[in-house]
Amino acid sequence: MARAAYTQTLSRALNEAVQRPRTPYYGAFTQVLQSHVHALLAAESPDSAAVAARLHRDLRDAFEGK
Amino acid sequence: MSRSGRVRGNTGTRGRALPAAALGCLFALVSAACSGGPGGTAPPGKDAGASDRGPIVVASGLDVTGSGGVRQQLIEEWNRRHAGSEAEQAKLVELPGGADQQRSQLLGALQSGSAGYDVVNLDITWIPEFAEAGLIRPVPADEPVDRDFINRVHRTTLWKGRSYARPFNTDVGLLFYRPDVLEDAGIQPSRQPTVNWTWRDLNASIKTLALSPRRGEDQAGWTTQLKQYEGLTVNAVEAFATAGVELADEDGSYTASEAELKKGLDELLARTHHERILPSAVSSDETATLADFAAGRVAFLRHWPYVYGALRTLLPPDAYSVNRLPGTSVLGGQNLAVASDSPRAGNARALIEFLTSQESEQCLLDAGFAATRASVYNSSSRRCWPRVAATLRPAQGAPRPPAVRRPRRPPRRGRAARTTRGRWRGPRTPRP
Repeated sequence: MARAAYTQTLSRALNEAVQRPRTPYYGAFTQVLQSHVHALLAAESPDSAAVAARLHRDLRDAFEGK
Repeated sequence: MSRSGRVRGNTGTRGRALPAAALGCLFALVSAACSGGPGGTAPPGKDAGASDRGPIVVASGLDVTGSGGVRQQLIEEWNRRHAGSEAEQAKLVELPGGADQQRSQLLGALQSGSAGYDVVNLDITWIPEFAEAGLIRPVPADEPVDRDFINRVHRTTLWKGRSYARPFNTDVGLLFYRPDVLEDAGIQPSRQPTVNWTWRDLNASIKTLALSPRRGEDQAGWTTQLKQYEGLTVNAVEAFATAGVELADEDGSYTASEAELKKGLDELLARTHHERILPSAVSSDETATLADFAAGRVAFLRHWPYVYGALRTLLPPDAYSVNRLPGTSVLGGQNLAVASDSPRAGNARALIEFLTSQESEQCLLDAGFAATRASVYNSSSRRCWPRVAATLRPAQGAPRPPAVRRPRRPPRRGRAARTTRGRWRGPRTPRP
């Protein structure tokens, strides 16, 4: 793949990308998200509804710095 | 450069609502994690007249571009250009450890004022925390925004309406793929990734691959970083954003509902279904996923731009390609900010302007980072500083060294990967 094509692809991707959540409590946010999501992905039979409920509760706290 | 070093704005937020980690360091100033790192970088001192003396100390994570350390090279170029001025000499302090350790060290060092850092190279995710804690200075309000910075990248420097930094290097998720593996499974170039690919297209291709008798038991469609670390956060946020789920607004207030979270999680589950993804993805980071891709265990890989350069030495040119990541992709990267307590903020700002100039950004792109300026991508920027360019590895377009370990076909039992594991650690955002 030509380098010119690569830089065009990269430029386009940068112009469309989004940020992760912006918060002074980023460390807490990312820990909470990682632990719930990793447990979900590692589960034998993943229950996204149950994880969503727990994640919702913990993310609310994390973004409030609790 | 005669800007005053005064801290402007932000006084209203200083000291309010310090994040827990910052408080932890305040109460544990003696601990190594908070003292500015091992080796005890001697503080330049805050005595009278310190502002007239150098060096300008830049704290950054380890430079692991594999290109001779482009950040160090850029600082050496700055020093050569200011050879007559002791006050303007700069020094790079590289912090060991993963991203989270670096964050703790920088927080502790800036809170205590003990390390004497003038410029900090912050992961973009840390800007709100450092800004809110009053540890970094806002860019002077009268300084016009440099429109050459890619807008979305510039926005990573903002917190509550003010810019606190300049974007040094950026990062974004991309879809790498193996044209040789796809063709071997009967997927012709016309059915390989385009800029318009969606996850539906990717999944269809993965399904075709799985049906190919030429694929082995230990091979899968794609892989990505799902180990429990920052890479998992990136992948989850990409799935959430693709499903239209945002977790917080610009000011950091949580905005998602339980139903939206379920929608985002279901999107991630669909992507990572065992019929699609390499099972080891759930314990894989950047290095492991790159090795799996290089070994032909997957045809698709979500990864960062530095991999484009890294693959050059791992695979023949016709065995890899890259396109947009289907759906929504997440930004990474680092921003340069002036420490609030720096006694030499004017010189620090001048150094930051140099490090983020068109020339420097071109050097960063050449070294394998993603540059933050639009002009670097449309070839209208000035060239990389010649003396820096000379130290970087050969440009991507240059003739390749004779390849070793280059399978004509994807290896049945992925031998090549083991030898590459651990070799490439690029300037990616998350670290294990």
